[in-house]
Amino acid sequence: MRSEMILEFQDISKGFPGVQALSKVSFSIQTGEIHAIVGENGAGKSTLMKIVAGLYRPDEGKIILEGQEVDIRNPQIALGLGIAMVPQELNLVPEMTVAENILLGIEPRNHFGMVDRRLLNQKAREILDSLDVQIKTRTALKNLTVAEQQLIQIARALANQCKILIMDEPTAALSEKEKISLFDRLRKLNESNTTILYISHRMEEIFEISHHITVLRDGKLTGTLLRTETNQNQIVNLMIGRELQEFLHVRGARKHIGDPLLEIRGFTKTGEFENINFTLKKGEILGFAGLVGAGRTEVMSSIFGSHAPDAGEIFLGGEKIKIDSPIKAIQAGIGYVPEERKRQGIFPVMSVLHNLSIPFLQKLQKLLVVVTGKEAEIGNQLSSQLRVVTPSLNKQIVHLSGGNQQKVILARWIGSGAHILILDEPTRGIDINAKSEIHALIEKLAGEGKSIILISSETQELLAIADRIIVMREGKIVGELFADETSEEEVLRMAMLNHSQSDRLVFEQAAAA
Amino acid sequence: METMTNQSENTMVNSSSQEKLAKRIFSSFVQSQALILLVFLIVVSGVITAMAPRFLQVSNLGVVTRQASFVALVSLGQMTCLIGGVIDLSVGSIAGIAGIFAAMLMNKELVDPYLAMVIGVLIGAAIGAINGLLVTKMDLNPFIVTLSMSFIISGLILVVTGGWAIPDMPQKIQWIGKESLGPVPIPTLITLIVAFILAFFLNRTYIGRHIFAMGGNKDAAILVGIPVHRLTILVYMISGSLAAMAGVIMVARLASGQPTIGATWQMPSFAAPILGGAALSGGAGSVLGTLVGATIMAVIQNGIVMTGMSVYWENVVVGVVLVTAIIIDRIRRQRA
Repeated sequence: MRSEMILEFQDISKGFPGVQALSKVSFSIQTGEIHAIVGENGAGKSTLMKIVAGLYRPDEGKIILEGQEVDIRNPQIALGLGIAMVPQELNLVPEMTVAENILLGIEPRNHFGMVDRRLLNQKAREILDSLDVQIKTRTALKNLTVAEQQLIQIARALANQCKILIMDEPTAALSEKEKISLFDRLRKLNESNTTILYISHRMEEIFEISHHITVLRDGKLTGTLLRTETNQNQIVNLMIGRELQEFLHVRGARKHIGDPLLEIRGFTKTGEFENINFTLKKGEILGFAGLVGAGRTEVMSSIFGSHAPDAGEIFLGGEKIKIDSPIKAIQAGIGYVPEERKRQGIFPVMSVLHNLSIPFLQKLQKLLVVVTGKEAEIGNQLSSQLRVVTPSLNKQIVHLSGGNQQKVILARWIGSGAHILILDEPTRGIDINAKSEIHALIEKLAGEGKSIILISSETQELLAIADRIIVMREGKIVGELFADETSEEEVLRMAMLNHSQSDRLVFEQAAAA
Repeated sequence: METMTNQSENTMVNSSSQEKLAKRIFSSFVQSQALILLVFLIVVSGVITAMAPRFLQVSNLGVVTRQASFVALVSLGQMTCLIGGVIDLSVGSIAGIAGIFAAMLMNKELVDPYLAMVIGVLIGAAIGAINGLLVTKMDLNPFIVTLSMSFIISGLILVVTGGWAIPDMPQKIQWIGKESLGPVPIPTLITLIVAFILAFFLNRTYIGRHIFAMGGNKDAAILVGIPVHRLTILVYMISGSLAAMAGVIMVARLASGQPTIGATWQMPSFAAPILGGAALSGGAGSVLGTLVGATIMAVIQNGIVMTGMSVYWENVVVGVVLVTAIIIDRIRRQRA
């Protein structure tokens, strides 16, 4: 491996409204290495890679490519500079053939300016051969597996003479066997002097394939280490030494938790989650921790009936019930606050009041007609109870802040009388004051006997208000912890490392102490 | 949402709060853009009157409103679809086949003429139900489904009629198309009654609210337990029934079953609701706005005749108005 630098980042900063995604990040990538970039959800690794690939522009800082400062204004420029990205969501054309996809935009032409199909297939074949891939060039892309499509995307990068290949969580959708063969190819590519930037939060993989590991935390660089000189324990420590966020709300006195209410048994959906079992008790706040893609949202939307599982049973108060649509879930007394407020939560052109009353309108009707007096009364009562800040309940909901929109959505389910609430990232993208108001509200609801499932990617949030925390990793439940007996570190270790490894880490720590 | 019901409610408020009332009417007008539309209507009418003073004669205004009522009925159905977030490209041909079917039943004297008209409307509802089932249960694209349906139906019309009109409609029913109550033509009266009921349904009942919600954000609607499949079928049935109603009333007016009934109504059925504030993206629409929009379409059509322009210009003008309406819709959404 030559030791000169192919890519250097100097003081890269990038902010979005409400968050500083990257602040003054500086490090270098050596020519011909595999460099892993790791970090928790929201640490800034994807943002950094999007900057390299020309999808975002940094607010400040320089990118030096082979000794020269470059301005990567758009993805075309990145490609021209020899930087190609294999995104998590592949951007291939399903209806086209393998060869057409590989050479998309750079098809060889004949004398008449038409695509030279013979040469096209020949070139594609050469590239695929260099990767040891047997797929036929004339096959339609849609007939390939995800793993094969990923290889086609890599082949496309090679066809564009890429020097730096960015792989964003490439193994998320692959089986173990597919992963091994992908790694073989990446190593081979690397031997032929392609530099690879590898983004992942799977520890084993990173240690298997990379030369250097760069760790980001809260948008800041916490270290670049040589793989042979570090261990998983050290990397995890660099990832999680997060600055303690100031939570305005402090957990209230331990409330009374009642009998088991909702029991989930054997929930399975191939490729998403496997054998999920848990019990939610009356008056309990049950937290779900895990990394993005651990399958938490998928499990919850299956329980709510909007995403059918392959197998699984639901028991409510000891009785088996069948939920095959959200309508049934709502009848069973379950309310769902979805992860994506804009896309799945609010009705943007409707008023605050109409957004609030929508799930229980049928209870407000007389001969089909909505009794507007009663609707307004309930709306006023709930919005003052939840302290929704709006000039009027007749204002369109889009004009409210994110925090107030979220309160309206919560009010919706309180009004409908739901006794089980599933809250998926309820405080994401919400300012600190609204956040603590929502925390207080969740605790109050639990105190009144409502049972709450809380998905959050902020472990500190779960520690602050949940009673128990279930940790998911790659579609499975890997642990269950009492919130007041655990730590952020323990939760994150479970979410990131597999069992045997975390046991070993505990052992190592004990030995060190 | 500005509606006829809002306005009628307003006029019932007692006179002590007249100033407040005027304010409310004004603000709701501006919100629905009905005011802007009314101004536009007056300007267009003014131009036409300047060129052809006969336009303003009571007899001609009767002609205009009668003409407007057919497009208005079809447009109200289309508007309901647009509010629910779908589209119906088969309204014109549904009007046609409903009219032809009713005309054939009357021509052969198989059933009472009034019953024949009712059957015509039910056929429209049935075709709407088929559209809705294909869109929901088979999960097909509304555009393609209703466009295909339109072709199937207009083909069937030619198959059963051979392209010829069905003559000899009974005297008994012709008043529905031809008579007036005072200065108000009967078709206009029927349209106003239908509009009133539809506005009440959409704006006051919980089902109407659910339709707005479904069109505004389907994903969110599913998650709050709104039965989106059933409602989609319902909006197509409303659309089919109203189109069919326009078709059978047209038969009563023409006293014959013309195979061309409804053929020119498809495009105006989009222009009127969109001019009146309906969004192509769903979740918005106003009955009053649609009525004004339909009137504008009729005024322009009548103006072409009155000012002595070639009637061949009609399609050009309708097309231009529709594109303009879509541009207005676009600007409106961008601002929001």
